Amino acid sequence: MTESTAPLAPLPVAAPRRDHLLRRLLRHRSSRLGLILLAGYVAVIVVGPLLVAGSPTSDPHYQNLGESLQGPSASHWLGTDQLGRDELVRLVIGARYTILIGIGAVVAGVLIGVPLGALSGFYRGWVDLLIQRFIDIVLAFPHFLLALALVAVLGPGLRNLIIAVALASFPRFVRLVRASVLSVREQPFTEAARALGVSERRVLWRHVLPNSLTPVIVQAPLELGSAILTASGLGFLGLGVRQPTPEWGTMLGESRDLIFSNPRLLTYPGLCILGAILAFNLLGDGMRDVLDPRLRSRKRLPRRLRRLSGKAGR
Amino acid sequence: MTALLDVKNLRTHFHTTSGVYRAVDGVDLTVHAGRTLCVVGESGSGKSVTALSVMGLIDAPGQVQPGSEIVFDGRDLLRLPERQLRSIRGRDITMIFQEPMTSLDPVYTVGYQIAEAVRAHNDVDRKGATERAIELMRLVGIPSPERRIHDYPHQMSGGMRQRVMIAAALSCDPKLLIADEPTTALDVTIQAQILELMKDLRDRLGTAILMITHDLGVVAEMADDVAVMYAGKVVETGSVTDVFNRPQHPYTEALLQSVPVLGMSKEHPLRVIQGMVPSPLNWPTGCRFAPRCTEAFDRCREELPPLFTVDDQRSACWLCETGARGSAGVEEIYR
Repeated sequence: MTESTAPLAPLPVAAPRRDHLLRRLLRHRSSRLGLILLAGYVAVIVVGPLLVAGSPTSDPHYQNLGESLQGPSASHWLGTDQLGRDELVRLVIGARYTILIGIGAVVAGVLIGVPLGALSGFYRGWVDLLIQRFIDIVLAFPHFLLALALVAVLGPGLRNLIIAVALASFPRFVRLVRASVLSVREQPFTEAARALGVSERRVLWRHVLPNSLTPVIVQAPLELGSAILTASGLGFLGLGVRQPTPEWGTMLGESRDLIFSNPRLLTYPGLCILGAILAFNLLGDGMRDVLDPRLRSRKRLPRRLRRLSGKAGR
Repeated sequence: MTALLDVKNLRTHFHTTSGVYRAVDGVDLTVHAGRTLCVVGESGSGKSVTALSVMGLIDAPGQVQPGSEIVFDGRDLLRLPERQLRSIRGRDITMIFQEPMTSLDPVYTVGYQIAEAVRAHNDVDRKGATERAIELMRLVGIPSPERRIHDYPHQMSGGMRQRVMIAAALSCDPKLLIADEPTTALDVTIQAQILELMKDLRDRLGTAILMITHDLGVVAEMADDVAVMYAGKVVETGSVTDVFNRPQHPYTEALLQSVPVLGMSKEHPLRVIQGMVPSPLNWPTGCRFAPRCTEAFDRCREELPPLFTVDDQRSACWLCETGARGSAGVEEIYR
């Protein structure tokens, strides 16, 4: 080496900008719509109660029989129900229950279903047989009927509703994770880990499971929509959240006698439920596309770059 | 010379609905401390199953048959409970695989995976394990390891990943490294680098290597000793110079003749071995190479030849019963 060659300084390496999941979801048409809708719901849950606060009518339980069944007006934007309660206030307060039930049920379903599916697919043999036959039994009952029967046994109420919906939805996660684990456990890296002395249990929970979760991530939002639907259905039948609590399904049920005289009392909560399910389904749809690497290559250039490539000489 | 690993009459069978696959059917191997044994053979000759049997990684429906013996460092691995076997795996015996592309878990950084191997056998905290991981990566020649430990496998090339696998395998200074075709998936220049690295590590750390390959070039490069496998059995063993210069088994000879050489012409075309390896579902009776052998006679088709000792070599061919048979060695073939 001659003296003129200075020792090479390590080249500065810019950290690659990671293409975050959220950014990719926003780029996808249907998940963008889903996220916007969902952001609306979250805003209603967080900010809504503050906006409607102030007057006695802002209490969702405040009754005024003198003002029952009024149409929309300046003081009650969406009118009042049969007990004179403000419809808008009840819808705004009700948002949190519906979303809570949906998320609670899916989280519980994932927490029960994923470990069961992982054990089943990884250990095979009699563990698999036992778990899968149990799942067969659960799946033999129609989804909604099972939740209905469970609530009938456990009694109505927010917590029991979440349990019932979760128990009706977890078998799908078991099946999903099992299928995925069955293929991942045959990957060479599991054998390589074993050859390095990693324990069987660690191979399952640290190597196989994390590699098997993609389908769960896709299924969870779709399952959220269906959980909300089941919960609303139970509410409609009077088996959901108990009466004065303004849960949307329960509100639908309360006003079903008025379907011809005051259809708006069913329309508003119905639209709210529809929107929530739509939001989650759109999100799930987009997630499926975004997480599928085969579709990634069709990604378009970001708008900024497209504009640049259009302008010559800049 | 002390035998570090002594495999005796290893038989690993797979019980399937269509019958019993006798993939490994009576294999004897010896690996000496600090030396390299290369196991060569065609696809389907049972090389990889032998390696996995030694590691204790045969999954159902595979089963190591009773009567087999795998003695490592004075202990029969087949008699050890799974728990003790696991403490030997990765510490005393480790293995690297053919596919560096898929042998690393894609969801963790390479540093994490080397550290995991370190922590599986040593009582160190995360920081200590990470430091050891950096040290190991430097040992296997990965540049700027402090930065590379944060890389995910997909950010590395095949050669780099194989280096990472070797680093993880060396985490506890193993006595024996089993390498199952470690360079087959790599291009030639990288292949040479990895082989060079393994030789260097063997000399520096004194690790014995059991290397599985079908590439005779790799054997010539790496091996001290050679075992030639055919149809679930070892047909010839000996030191690399003996086996290459004076092959005693017709199969070994045919294998050496089917290596393409630069400068071959139409007048001397590449010789191939006719036919296919028979199915492990029903091996032929007698010598298993007899149906493809140009020198086979009646006895070959009826009786299975044992391993005869010829000088320092051993060969399972009836022609060797009475002593060395005259045969063409590498030099003669390539002349």
